[in-house]
Amino acid sequence: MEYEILDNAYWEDGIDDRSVVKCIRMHKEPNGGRRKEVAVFSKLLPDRSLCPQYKEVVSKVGTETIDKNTKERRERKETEKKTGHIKQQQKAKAQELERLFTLKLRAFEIPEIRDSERKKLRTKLRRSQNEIEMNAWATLILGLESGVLKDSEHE
Amino acid sequence: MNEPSKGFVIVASKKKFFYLSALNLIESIMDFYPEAKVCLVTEEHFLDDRGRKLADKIILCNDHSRAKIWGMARSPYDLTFYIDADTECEHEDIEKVFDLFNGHDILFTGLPAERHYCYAEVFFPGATKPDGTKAGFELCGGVCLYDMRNELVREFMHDWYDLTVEQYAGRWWPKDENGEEDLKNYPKSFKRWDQFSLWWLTNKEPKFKDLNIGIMEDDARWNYYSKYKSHLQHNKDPIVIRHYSSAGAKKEVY
Repeated sequence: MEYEILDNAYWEDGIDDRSVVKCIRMHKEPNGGRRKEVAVFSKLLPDRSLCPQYKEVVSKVGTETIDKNTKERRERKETEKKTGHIKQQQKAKAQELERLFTLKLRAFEIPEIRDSERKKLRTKLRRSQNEIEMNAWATLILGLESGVLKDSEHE
Repeated sequence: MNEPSKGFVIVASKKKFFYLSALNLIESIMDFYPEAKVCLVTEEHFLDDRGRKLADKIILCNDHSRAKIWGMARSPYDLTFYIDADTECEHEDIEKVFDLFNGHDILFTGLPAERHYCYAEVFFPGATKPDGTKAGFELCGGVCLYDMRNELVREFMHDWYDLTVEQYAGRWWPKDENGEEDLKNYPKSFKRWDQFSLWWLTNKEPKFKDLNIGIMEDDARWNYYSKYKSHLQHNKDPIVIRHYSSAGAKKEVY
């Protein structure tokens, strides 16, 4: 079978002794098309002899190129991992902010809070950075406005 | 010469969510700028004592999708800062917004390439520059600082509203060489987007070529979308207006 080994082969992830190589072989199909095969070859066969396919890949692509491809790939994967993590964090943060905004609007619709003239406390509630803080200020306003808590110090 | 009057225009129509957001926005502005004058444009059935108490002036509008521009055109203040209702003020610099004109008649925030990830559509064939460079929307209408003392500015706001009404009603769209709607250069998806009527007036309408329209300095801080990625540092100074443009409440409770 006729095939071409692409020059982007690399040493398998997590193995640093060049014992496993991963490559792409493009096969020429009888109808003129091409078929892609991702192949992994270990240096040694079960009988401890050198794998001819491993040998073929290493000799065609070259150890130096495979080393370079491996380094580039690992760096790229690391960056993608970090970027993906930041993206996820940002998305979660944005969603949390949007949710907090919605909750604040709801809190300001509770009659005791809606009609409260306690400006400082309203501001505290509005500037809350998270749901727990918001709940605390909302509770305080509710407590004061309903008379459950005593307003010992005028705002 | 009299000092120009300065104030904010906030429009809350269509959904109660926008009315409640507008009340919150007004209070948040007044947290930092207690003397702020705010004109609240809203529908009569939303208006309650809170709105009456907070606003310096109230203008009643109908429920047209773009009541926003209608309200902008009716600002009672010489120097006006329009702010979308679904926002919140976070910084004392709000008081300094009227110092930002720097010779301009109208200022918006921008849509630079580094923030394109946040917007659905930016580029379109009809905006391509004469040298072939890909181009599209450059102005964002979430906030707008404008000088109503200038007759041309007032005319611009009215024309923007009129054109948007025609556009939304399907009575206006740019034509191609055969007199048909030019959907090749101006995608159909823009048909219900006031961003397009704004682009048309600022780029294709000779009447407004002398208007000095620009982008606010450190613009991201004046209209900071909650979806912005903070690590990209779009703003230099602290955020003044945060925009909750995708708050779930729009679709849910209110």
